[in-house]
Amino acid sequence: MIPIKYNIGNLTARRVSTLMTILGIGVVIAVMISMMALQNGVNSAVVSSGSKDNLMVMREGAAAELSSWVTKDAFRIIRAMPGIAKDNSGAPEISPELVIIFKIPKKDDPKGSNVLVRGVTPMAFTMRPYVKIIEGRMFRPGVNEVIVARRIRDRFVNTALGDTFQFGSTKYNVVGVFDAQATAFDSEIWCDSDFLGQARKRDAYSSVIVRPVDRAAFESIKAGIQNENRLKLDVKSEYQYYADQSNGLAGIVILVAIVTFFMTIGAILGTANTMFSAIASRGRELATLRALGFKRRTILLSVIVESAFISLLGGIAGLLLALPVNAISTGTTNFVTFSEVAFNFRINPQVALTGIVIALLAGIIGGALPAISAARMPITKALREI
Amino acid sequence: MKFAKLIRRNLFRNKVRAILTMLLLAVIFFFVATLLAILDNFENFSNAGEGANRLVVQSAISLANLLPYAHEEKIRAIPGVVDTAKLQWIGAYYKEKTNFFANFAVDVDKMSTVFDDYKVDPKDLAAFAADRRGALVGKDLMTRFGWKVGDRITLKRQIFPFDPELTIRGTFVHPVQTTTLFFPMEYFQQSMGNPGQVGTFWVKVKDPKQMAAISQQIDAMFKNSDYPTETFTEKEFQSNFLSMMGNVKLLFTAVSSCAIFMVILLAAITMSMSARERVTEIAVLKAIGFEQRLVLGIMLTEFILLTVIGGALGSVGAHYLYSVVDMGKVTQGFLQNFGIHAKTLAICLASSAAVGLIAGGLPALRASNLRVVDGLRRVV
Repeated sequence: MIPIKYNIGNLTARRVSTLMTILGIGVVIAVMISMMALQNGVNSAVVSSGSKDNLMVMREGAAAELSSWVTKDAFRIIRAMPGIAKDNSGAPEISPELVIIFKIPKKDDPKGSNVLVRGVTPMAFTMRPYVKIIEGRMFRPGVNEVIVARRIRDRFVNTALGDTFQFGSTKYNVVGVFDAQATAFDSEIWCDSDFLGQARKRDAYSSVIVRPVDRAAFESIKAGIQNENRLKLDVKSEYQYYADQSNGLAGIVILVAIVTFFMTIGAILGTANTMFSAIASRGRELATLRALGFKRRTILLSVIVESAFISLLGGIAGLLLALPVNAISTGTTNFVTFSEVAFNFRINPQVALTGIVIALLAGIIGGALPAISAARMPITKALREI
Repeated sequence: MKFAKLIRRNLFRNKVRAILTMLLLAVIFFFVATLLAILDNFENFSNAGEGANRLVVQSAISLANLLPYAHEEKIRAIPGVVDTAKLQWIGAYYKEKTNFFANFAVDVDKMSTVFDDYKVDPKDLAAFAADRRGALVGKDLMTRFGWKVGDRITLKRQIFPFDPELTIRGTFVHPVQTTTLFFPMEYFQQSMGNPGQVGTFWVKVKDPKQMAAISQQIDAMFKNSDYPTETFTEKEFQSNFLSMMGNVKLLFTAVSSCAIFMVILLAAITMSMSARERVTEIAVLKAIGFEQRLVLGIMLTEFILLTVIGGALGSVGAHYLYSVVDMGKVTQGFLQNFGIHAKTLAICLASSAAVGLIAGGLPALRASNLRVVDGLRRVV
């Protein structure tokens, strides 16, 4: 085996082109990682919201809460069902919620976007303990007070603590800012459900969230609601509801796939090209190694190791280049709910690792062809070259 | 060009390297051309109603809020308005959720006045008007699902609680909206229990110069009603949809620029290699009387040729691929009438030439500036 030191020596001997290759591959991997971070951010903002333990009740055939309604009578029927968990104070863990779209001007777009406004009762916070107020206070029931997700506050006009915004004929006072740990609720505004119903003239809920005591109760409540023909309601797990919404974001998945595909091919061809140049400039050196008794296989391996090493460095450079996107917070529209999804680019360890592994693989594949041609080089011819 | 042969021979002096570089450029420009074409496609979508002089009236609150029928009469009474039509986005799908296409409930009798840019055979239009549950379908949508006139189809609900059961009564041709389906507004209203409300009114205006004024007039008229409106030109309305996706243009431009930057770096390595290899040769050329500028010109031509061939392979290849493969089908209706336009091709070719110039500039300059003695003395 040729010592790795030899490869490192080679890289430093051709400093400029090594650096350029690392930077080139770095840019490719940075783009790839950013796109995966985008998908990851959107995913966590939509798909991985909601608990598998909670049941979500909506009107039959409704794809989203917006097009669903559950009458107050139906809510009372469900609340009376056996098997619903109780909180510390003994109240049943069932949360009726009213969801309405508000169009609110954005900081970078005065025409504005749709934001989901969710009317809730205090039970909604008990059932989603990760929703926490980080500034200000909770809204009071029955009045025009709202709390705003941090990500919405950052992107929309007049939604910061103490601000007032108007929608329709009603003014809403922002009394708090909340954080929902990057779930779908981080793209919402919450307020009292009775007040929202009055303000928007809606006398029904959009959905009802139920927490059953255990798995058996989960199934029995589900069956109970579905078999009750009067209700005409559908039940799925809260988790499933959000997972189904990924349809509205199919465009992003396609885009990430296209970018990753082309960028990988780019990285492979890029490394192949550099490695060909690298071995071409040291034909005599490699021939000398052969003449000294190093086997073809050893030369092959050595070139591949060098190529893998250089693209690994490229991968790491790419990760470093991509890290700043981690802080970017932006938005897109979920075409199932027709409302804003605020999300952060999220580079998690898995995304970072994927990027680096792709770089490494591109290096190995890209290095293979030059390595073969280096190993096959006839000794005498290469030694005679000037 | 008496140096054509010299350039050609130099271009392929190291075949593997030349081919790899061209391939790299081809792949990246295929990619860039695709991204640009998607942007183009979106833009095209928002030009759908060009020249049709239509305004779209929707609820000021959001598209999900409906407007009362009573608004329509008042809008139609405005001077300069030719006619109005009610249109409702249904958002139903055919069999699978992924079979995504535009479907609307529309005032059947207004197809010929308000939506006169949809070319329909008069016989088809009459048959469509005669059937309470008829459907008028875009030609491309017919091919996509293998439908024939007379077929009975059932769409599945997504937003509204009913599954439209329709009989296809005719087809239409439109330059952009080729995969749209229309069915009668009455059917939608009856299925919903006759709410007398609708998502949008489409207003045909006589004179395009009046459009801005009429649009303001409509919004002013309903400003203090229970159902305030927001009126857009058709183009604004469509591009609102696109802007909802987020800043796609910025994203695509950023990704394309990064890809091109990467190509410049990697091409520069190849070109400096190739320039270094022929130092002696260049010295000889200069020794026999080639001027420095001529040497520079020859080398730059070669480098630019290299990248342009690659760029052309990629972008023209993309052009042919997309004209053979039906991208509407591949992307399940996400991209309609997808293709690489002449403008995109030109951008790609120009950028690939720029890549050659930027990446090859320094190596070529350095090689041509070499002093003859140094070049001849140097052992490569």
